[in-house]
Amino acid sequence: MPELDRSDSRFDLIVELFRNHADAVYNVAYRIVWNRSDAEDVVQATFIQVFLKVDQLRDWSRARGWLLQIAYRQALSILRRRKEEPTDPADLAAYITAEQRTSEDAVSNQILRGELADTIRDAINALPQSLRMAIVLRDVEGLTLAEVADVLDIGPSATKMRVTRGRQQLRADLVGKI
Amino acid sequence: MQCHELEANLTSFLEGELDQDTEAEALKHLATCSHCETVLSETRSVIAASAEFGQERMSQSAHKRLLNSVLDQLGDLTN
Repeated sequence: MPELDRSDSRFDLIVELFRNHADAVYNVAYRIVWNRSDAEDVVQATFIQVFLKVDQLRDWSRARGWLLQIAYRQALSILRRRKEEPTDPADLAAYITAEQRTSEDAVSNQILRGELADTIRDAINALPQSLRMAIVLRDVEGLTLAEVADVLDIGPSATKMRVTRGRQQLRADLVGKI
Repeated sequence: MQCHELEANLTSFLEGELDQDTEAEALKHLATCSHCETVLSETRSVIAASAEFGQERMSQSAHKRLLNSVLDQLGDLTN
């Protein structure tokens, strides 16, 4: 294993950024690529990119949005490379459910987080991708609407519309369950 | 303000982005419309539930493994 150059302060920054934001990166990536292995690849690729581009980050209060923008693009790139990925939302929902139900993590998550968490997570995962990403970034990860717009590379009105429609669909799906 | 206008402006209302007059109209409507009051309350519940339970998280072992892998790759890149 190669030795790290401990004098390079970028390593400390990467460790700190990883500890603070890797879960958020995984959360966004998983909602696009729909399997743990590819989501983990996105996490790694994202932090490599962050290391190479960290000088571009001028405002540390925007680190989370910047990281998630890189992660979002990495995940889309993986998705584009995959030929067999189902694209119909209904197919995706079935695909997600099958993948989650058979994974050991899903089993332990179900025990730890309970039925309510599964219900909410499934409802978010069943949203069309454009609405799902807006909800994940705004309501799950807590980015501002402006940061969500930056990550998704869309305008403020489109961002607000996606968040509004995503919440409406979740409300319709979850009423009486939460 | 009508119900459909309130629903169309709900995200802006929750973000505190409405201008003073429109916000006052929204509050006035909410005070007298139980349907919209319910919509607002349910939307707030959905937002809170998404924040609390919506994450897909890595296991602790995956977290540690991936950080080590990233640092290994960065070591390769810089050596």
